Amino acid sequence: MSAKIRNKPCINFENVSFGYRDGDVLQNVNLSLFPGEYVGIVGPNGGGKTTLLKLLLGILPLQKGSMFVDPAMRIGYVPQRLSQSVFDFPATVEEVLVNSLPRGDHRKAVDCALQITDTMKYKKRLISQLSGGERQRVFIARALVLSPRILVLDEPATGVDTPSQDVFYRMIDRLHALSGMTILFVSHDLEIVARETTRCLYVNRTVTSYSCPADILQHHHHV
Amino acid sequence: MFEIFQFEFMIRAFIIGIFLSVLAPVLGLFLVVRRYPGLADTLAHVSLAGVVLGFLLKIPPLLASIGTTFLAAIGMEAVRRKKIFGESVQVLFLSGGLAIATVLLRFDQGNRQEIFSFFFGSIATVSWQDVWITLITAVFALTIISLFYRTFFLVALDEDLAQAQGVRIHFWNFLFVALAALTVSVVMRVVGILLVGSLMIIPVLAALQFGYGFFRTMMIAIGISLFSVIAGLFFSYYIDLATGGAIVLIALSCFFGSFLYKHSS
Repeated sequence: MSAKIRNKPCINFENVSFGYRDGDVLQNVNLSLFPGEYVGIVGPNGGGKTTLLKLLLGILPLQKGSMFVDPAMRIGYVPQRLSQSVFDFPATVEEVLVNSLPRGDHRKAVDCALQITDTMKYKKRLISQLSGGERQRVFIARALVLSPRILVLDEPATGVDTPSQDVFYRMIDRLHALSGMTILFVSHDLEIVARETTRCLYVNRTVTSYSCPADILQHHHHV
Repeated sequence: MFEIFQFEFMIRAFIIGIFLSVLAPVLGLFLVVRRYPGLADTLAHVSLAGVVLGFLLKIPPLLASIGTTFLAAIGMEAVRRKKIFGESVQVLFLSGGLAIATVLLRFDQGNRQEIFSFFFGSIATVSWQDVWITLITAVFALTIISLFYRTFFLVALDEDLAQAQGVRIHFWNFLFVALAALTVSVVMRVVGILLVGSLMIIPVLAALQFGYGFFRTMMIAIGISLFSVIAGLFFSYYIDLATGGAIVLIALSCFFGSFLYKHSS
């Protein structure tokens, strides 16, 4: 990976715990992420992967511990499951991107994000007319249009066919190499994580970090 | 010139109708895409309690209705946040509003006729005071929507995405239901409590059949709504039909027309 990784963390969790009514999902999580890293997040269902991301994004409130996110690092987010309303939302791809930005003329930024994700051809189409893979790429473009320095992808390839997944991973790889942005990528697929990322986190109530993602295959092949 | 415009009450009706035809589908589109279309009908029933209260306390019924509906909308959003299913919350407030109205009606003396005019709308009884309240409300609501159009769009698209961008969704949800409450109260004056949801929702459903993006759908819905209200006023005057019913029937015809257009092309 050509992206340069710097030493000062852009995200830091210290003893972070979070629980819902039926108990803790995350317990005493300590974690540092550095600018330019491409980090895979794996773990069993219900292990706390999405909760970890939602804490990071401020969607869930911090209950215990402390968390630091470098305020200079804007975060782009592509959720695991878009809400049901997105699937028949009457909006064009262009509207989804433009309305994600503050007021003003952002035509260049929109076109640039569409070009990077190879979705320019869908610009005038309704998001409801796109396939799962096309829609996912559009929502990556939506995240990119915000000029993020951290990109958070929560199981981005779920429900996408294999050829589209390959296109998708090449695109993320290229994006990481060119922009040097920090990428957090949640996936169920250990092989993909081992192949694509520079570091891997195993989340199951606590977080274990593997500096060599391939190690995850030996330790957690059952995931 | 049309004979219809020789009467001051019809001029008032056209002014109020045109403003409402723009306002109603704008809020209606957001209600439809948020899968919350029943909110309009619920608030309309709550507003009846406000109307009766207005007559009892001798304050303008439209103002009393705006106040009551506004409070109910805030209450609904607060209860919905406690994870009670959206639809169930609507039933709670719809029944509650209607129950309060029927109980309060017992104490009313001599205003039954006027109160019942709010059920089906009564364009003939619209006063200049009603016109001004409606204009101020419509301009206020449309200004807020156009200033924060992108935020309302994002929250309607996906709340998690909006929240991840730092949008305080609870605040925006409260603001949205408050605007919906204002809209329902003023729309009710023209088409009546029983048809208020129709003027907000049917033009939107008709516009959605054309399969355009969000903004164009909104503009088409406004066009259909304007056509329905203006044609409805003409029909009600020249053929002596109930205004609210005529407006909604024309909007319904537009819906069926666009539905047939979509499924035949």
